[in-house]
Amino acid sequence: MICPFSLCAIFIGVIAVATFLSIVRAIKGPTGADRVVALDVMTNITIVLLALLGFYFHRFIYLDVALVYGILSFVGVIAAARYLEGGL
Amino acid sequence: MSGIFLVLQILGYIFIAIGSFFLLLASIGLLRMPDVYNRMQTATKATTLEL
Repeated sequence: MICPFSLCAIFIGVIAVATFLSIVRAIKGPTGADRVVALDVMTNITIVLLALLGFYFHRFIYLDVALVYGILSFVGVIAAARYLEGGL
Repeated sequence: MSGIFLVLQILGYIFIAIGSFFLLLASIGLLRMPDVYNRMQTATKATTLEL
């Protein structure tokens, strides 16, 4: 390991700031589509965080968890978009 | 710890830094863009460049 803890702490801090900004947009979004887009960005943040945990702990089973979570978030965004269009 | 493993680990840290930077950039764009479609564009740019 080169500098395992401090560098990963910096990355997790940057990702936490990005999560906070996305949560602000999801709370005060003017329409429903803004909230859906912000929630999509938050699921992407969660996928990146799972991959980072798998890189840090050397447990590569987290990558499979991230893939399944990506598929489920895709289905969720499709369902939300269908609901906003009024077809569901 | 051999040399190639160290090089691969440094490369992995560089890629994680680039992805995290683009994630922060997309989130700032999501907060500051004026319209729904601009926000969607920044979000898809994050999806392309961070993953």
